[in-house]
Amino acid sequence: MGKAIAAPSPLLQLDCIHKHYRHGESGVHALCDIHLQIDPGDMVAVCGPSGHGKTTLLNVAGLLEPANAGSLVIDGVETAGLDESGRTALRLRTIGAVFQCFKLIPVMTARDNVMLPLLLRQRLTRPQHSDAQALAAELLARVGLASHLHYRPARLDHGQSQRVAIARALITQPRLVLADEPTSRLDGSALRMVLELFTACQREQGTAFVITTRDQRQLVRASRTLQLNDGRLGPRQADLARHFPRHAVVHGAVHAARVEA
Amino acid sequence: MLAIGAAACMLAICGGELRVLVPLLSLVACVSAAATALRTLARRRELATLRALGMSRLSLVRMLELEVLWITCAGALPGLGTGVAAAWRTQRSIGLPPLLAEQGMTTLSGLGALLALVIIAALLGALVPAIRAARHDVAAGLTVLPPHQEA
Repeated sequence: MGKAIAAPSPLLQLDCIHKHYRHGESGVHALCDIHLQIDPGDMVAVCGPSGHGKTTLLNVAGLLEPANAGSLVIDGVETAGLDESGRTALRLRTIGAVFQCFKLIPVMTARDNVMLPLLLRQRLTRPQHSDAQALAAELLARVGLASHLHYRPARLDHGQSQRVAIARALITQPRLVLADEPTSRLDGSALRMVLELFTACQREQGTAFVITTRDQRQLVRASRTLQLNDGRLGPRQADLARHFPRHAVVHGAVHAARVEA
Repeated sequence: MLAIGAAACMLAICGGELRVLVPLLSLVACVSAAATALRTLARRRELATLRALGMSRLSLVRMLELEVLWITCAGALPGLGTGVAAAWRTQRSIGLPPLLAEQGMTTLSGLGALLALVIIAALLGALVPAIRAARHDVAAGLTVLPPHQEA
């Protein structure tokens, strides 16, 4: 009898996550009862209207904001018991992040921006620094910016800045990448290069990606697509319609009845 | 930097007298605190990005203090030099006894001690705003718009 193969432990696990913000007397429930499990090599796309909690979800998963309730486990570590320095160390060790609006450091060149997570991780010796520079240059070349190594962010357009931010997120070979609309400013060959880089990281390093997106070309590459509406995470409506056509018909009928009423 | 330079210049002119030393060092600390608070406010987005990328609070405080050290040196060194030169020239022109030499202000160790006091005052002044900057909410800092997108 063959041995049962142990399932890989999840890289990211969110259970019953709630997040709400206070606004004076009232409050906003940004995330409601979120359950999500990400395994190594997953590519999960989260779509949904803006203002419905996509960025908050990534912030909570990336340890940038605490959840109000629920359990968050990253790479086998229950984060509730971690202090600020423990959360920072776990983030640096495990997570690569692509932020909305890219968040490049304005006084650094594109190459130095990409190298930054490596510099934060450890004090580099001179040969290590040269290696880091070479790695940053290689990553920038892979996103089509080989000739922009010494450009500062002010000289880069939005698409180029976005590609620098993507290279920065990948330089530490993180096990988990949280990307907030990472291809929103890309088109044509730049988009193709970035998607190929994501796929290569996924295949070669087992990197897991959680991506918020509205880009159909990225949705088709995802292993799972989820929809976030009013802070509630569920399967995407289009996928439900494809897999459960009757659900779509009923949903459509209910919607039509509401409109008529 | 200019204010710190001017304070250092005044200190050198007064030869590091105690009754001048305390208020001027307090001024250096206040200027340093205000400048650091303004600098961290203007760089909220950048500092939040560094924290989000994995910079620890301690490293951020260290980075801000290091910046204060450079700025203070850049201001205080020329300030001290100008002060010593001005005091020496004034004393010679009006025929006063060499006060600076009596107070040890023409020796390197005397000037070094004065510089060290200015630096310590500046670093202490900057400590509270630096710690406050390191404790800011990272997610809130990331939502700050870049200067060209602000209304």
